[in-house]
Amino acid sequence: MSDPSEKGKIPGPDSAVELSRRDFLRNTGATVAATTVAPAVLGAAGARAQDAPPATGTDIQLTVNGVSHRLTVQDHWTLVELLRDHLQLTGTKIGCNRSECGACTVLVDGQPMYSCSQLAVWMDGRQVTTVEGLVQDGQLSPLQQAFVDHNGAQCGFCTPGQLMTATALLNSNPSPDAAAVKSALVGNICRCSNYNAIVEAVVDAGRRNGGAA
Amino acid sequence: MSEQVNQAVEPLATIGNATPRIDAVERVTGTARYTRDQRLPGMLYARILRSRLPHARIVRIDTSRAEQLAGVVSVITHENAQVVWGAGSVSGGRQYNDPVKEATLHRRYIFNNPVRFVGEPIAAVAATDRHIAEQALSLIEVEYEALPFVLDPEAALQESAAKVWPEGNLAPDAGNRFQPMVTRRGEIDAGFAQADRVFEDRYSTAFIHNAQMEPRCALAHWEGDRLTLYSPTQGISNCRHDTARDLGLADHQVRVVCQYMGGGFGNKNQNQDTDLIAATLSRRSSAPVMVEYSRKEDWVRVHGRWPTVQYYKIGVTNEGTVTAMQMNAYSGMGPYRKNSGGISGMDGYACENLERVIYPVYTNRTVSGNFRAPSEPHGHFGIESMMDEIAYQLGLDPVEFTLRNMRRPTEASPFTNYSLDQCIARGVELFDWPNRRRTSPGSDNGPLKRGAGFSFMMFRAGVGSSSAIVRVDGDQSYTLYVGVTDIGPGAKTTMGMIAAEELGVPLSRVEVVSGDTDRCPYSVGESGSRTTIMTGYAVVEACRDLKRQVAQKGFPSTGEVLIASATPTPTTDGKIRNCFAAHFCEVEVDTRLGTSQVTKYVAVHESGRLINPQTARDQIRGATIQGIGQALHENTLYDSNTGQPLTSGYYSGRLATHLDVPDIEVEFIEVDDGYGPFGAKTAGEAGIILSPAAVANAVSNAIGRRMKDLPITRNRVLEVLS
Amino acid sequence: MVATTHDVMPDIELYQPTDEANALSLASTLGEDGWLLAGGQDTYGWLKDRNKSPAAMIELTKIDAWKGVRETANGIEIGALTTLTEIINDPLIKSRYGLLSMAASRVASPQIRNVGTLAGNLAQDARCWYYRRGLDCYRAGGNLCYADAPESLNREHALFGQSRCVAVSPSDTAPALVALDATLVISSERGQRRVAAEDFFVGPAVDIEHMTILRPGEILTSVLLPNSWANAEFYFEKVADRNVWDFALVSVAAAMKVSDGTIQDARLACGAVEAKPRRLTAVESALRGKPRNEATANQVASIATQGARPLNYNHFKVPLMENLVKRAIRG
Repeated sequence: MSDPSEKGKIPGPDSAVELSRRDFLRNTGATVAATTVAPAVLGAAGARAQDAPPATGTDIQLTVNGVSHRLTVQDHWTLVELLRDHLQLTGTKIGCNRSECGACTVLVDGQPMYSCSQLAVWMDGRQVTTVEGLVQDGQLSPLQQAFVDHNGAQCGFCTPGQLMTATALLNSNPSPDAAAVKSALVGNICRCSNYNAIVEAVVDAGRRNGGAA
Repeated sequence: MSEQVNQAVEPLATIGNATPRIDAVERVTGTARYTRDQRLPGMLYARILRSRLPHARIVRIDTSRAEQLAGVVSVITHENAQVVWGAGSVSGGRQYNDPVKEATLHRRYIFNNPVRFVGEPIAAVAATDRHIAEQALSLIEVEYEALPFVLDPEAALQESAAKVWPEGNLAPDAGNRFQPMVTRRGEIDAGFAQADRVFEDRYSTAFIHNAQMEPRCALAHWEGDRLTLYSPTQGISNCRHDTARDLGLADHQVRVVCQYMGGGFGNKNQNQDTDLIAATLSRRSSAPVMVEYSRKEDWVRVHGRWPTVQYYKIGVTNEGTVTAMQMNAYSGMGPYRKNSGGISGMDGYACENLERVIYPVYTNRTVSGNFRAPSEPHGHFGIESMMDEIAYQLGLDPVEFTLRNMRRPTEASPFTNYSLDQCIARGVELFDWPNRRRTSPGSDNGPLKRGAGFSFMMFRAGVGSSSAIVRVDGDQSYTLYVGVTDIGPGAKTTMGMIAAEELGVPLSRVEVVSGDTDRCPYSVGESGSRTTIMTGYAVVEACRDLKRQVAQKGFPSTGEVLIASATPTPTTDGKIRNCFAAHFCEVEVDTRLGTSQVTKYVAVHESGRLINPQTARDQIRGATIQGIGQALHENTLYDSNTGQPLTSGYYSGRLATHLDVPDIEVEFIEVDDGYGPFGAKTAGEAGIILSPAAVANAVSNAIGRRMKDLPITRNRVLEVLS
Repeated sequence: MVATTHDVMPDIELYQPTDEANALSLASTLGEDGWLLAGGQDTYGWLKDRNKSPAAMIELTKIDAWKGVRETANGIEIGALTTLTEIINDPLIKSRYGLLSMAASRVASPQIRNVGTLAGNLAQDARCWYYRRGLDCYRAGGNLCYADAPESLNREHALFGQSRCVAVSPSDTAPALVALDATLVISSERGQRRVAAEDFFVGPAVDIEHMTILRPGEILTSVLLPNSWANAEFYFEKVADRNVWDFALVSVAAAMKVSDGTIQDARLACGAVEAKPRRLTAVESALRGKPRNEATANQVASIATQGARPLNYNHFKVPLMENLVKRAIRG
């Protein structure tokens, strides 16, 4: 799929944030053009199924917390791998890696998604927001402040995911009631079972937004 | 002995104020670094190959192809890495006793042959990234000789059952004797002779996984003969000591770091095989090694609440006085004795004629171990269901039946205080018990039936030993060093508040250093609901010492410091020190669909003086909800034909979600009994003890059928109604 | 292989076609080796667990022609790659075919609905916990059903149509589409074929390894909802253990044409009781000409469970199904 000479640019787990500054960016159309050379590629795929790593790289451009990144990603990287291992954004947590808990929730173009179950290559051209992107100008968001005040985090491991889903909710419904909060956040498990406090925090954040008294 | 007065609490400056946690900002900004967030230069990632059979001898294991894979640095198996995991199997479940660990008959190694449950480690691979490590696993060839297996604890004690260990399936006690745990007092036969009626029944509870959000992991790093271990542990000091012992090191050669941890619920107060595997791989690879578990691995490998079967026989008079209590019970421990297998609850009754026999039984399932109040919720479900049923059979209100029979202080066994009557009375009032309870169970007309359930408890809140160090600098700023880790309940903040109160300064003037054995003295660990009372008391004593020094010498000048430490061993003067609670639950059961929905929940607790009312409240709410999940949903199912776990993971584990839980109304009765730090008692485990019983009793009250097996899933409701 | 340790995505060739022709060509070329990837929510688990090992994945989400909702002369056409959230929020579907909105809103969790597609929800594989565990059962190409041995745990399994395999259809939208008399459009390099929703799904007696009639090289590309069932009276209910994530223990979808209180025509289907959505034709016949009320519900609902053959642990599904059908009829 990609030029083998570019393999050296695939970032490893400890590489810095700035990964691959190339003025050439292969778009998805170009990727398709490459993939339709089917027989040769298929042979390669068959061989790779047993042998060692790989490394098909795809160039993507994505914006994370307002910062644009151009980088080469491997096709089997998930979004959460990209964020945690290659962009050093470890605030997003992996709880199950199977779309079953919500700890890894981030916003993609404003919508909450499980980043464990998104491929990094899909993020081409998209806007990703993680928990690290909630602080603006050094200030906690009203939602974060409400989590502090209401003890919204116990162990804190599900908290980034709860915050991201709640952020999306408050963007569409600035002053939700408790029922709306529960419905929106239902895809985020908290094993400390701190659900009551989380709901109170989100409702209060809505009030701070200038919503219902 | 009504002389035990419940002293009202005097207001204090810092303690008693709802206080946001001092590390809350880190937790809401993603800057809190959990173990998996640690990165060290050149670190490797490790994966573990696990048994796919419930019981098998490994005849041959060949790792050569895995070792040849580019990027693989080291591979270990039972053949080349024989490390005892002392905390992994302890006779009698005596986790805090080194001699017993040394003498344990059925020891557990990091890799065992034979393997005794699906998911038991067979080999571990360290490689330059996790993709390569996983690829290497599939290149390891294992030849098994399958052995017969047994899953059910009752069946495991039959003569014909497959043997998990050569001596059989009854797990030995601390002296390696094959005996059940027996408690006898009074005259059990005489007690039954006094009874007008004798009730017998069987109750069962499921294996409940702790399911903490952060899957198990460990990062090990050697510098010469010194090991640094980043590990999600509830007890850095215990983890260090266990790891040092297992690796043949002195304690000071091991440093354990855990600043943040994604929940534990009793899962990890000792070291784990994860720690030992990471350390072993790291040493062989000459590089830092991070071991990470997948969620499914965590589920089948890390322990959870033991499943139980409980047979009760209770004698009562027609007036409702209990005359004899007997229980025979079985706790499924998995193939290693990690913890006790205890089943509690009968001790809440005053009846003097008691016999309790508990068999801790080996099975070829995942290892059982401590989960928040390890012996209590399943036991309280059993005995409180039994007593609830008896009360209704006798035509009595279960609350009145309890007030007649519950244990109270006596001359022979005094309490530091006793507030159970107040807890129950306040709960009755808040919940409106007389109106919500169906005096005739199942009497609602129509398909939607409501009912109410009640349960009560008294739970240990003793005192004990820990250490603390406190320092004041020339600018009169204070630093407190405590070996706690805030795994969720707020220990770091609680310790800071206790210090601020004792020192008479605002909390903002106290920096709390925790979670690192190189910097902090011994603490008991965040388990057993002990941190607040034990480490908290050490903080009080250390601060008192520092104040004395300041009084003598004055505050230090710039560049100087004063330091105080304390390792007190407080006592309760021979008195029993308990916390108390009563829970009241209302459910609505849709008898067409089998749905049980909690519609009201009131929890009244006495946990002494509250240090931080905000975190105390959320400990009760969260634990209560966990218990509701245990009552209605959670189970880890094993297939009896293959020995495979079928519901490992969050989806099939059916953990409660935002839409499955009610608002929990919590009220505290505050008391200062003169013991513990400012009169504080325990809170962390208290909430989970009562909710399975309260929910089950409510369901039975609603539908008029006794629910004897947890969880009360809709299929069980529909089946008893059909 | 019953593994518990694999957790990262394997390295599988990924194709990202952006137009229909490329996608169909790839599907044809790759045949059985090509795994169709849409929202991925029933893909990653299989692949991360290494319980399925396709040679390549064909990602379909970049093909705009297979997304969105369009009005047609005979009703509406929904691109099969439309996400479930888009379906829930689509005004046309909401106003005319609310049954599908209701069903889609009960799928999994909000985050999954944000990426999961209609095609993925319809074509997802069986959720039998033995099969998902990676055991070599009939459905996985073996010669055993682990879920139907004497002590097997099968509370989630089939009441009807068992044939060696006892897995059930897990889809929430499938019974809704059967009740709406939807037509599914299947595309391949050779052209298109159209099948009734009812005929898209197959039981183990027909094909024990697949839950739909999709053949290698074929892609489910759109769903047609006919005018004939627009604005009918609809009912959807799903009973699962929890209020989120869990698959149905039983679900019911009903569309009824009622005039002057009398049921003129009705279509009902239940999910999670058979390997395919179970259409309740006998119930439908019995309903025609009757008033839509409690009495009719009580009179007719038991027809729904006639012929049920419960397994060891799923007897509760019989009253559950009957009660759900009753509620659907009563409204």
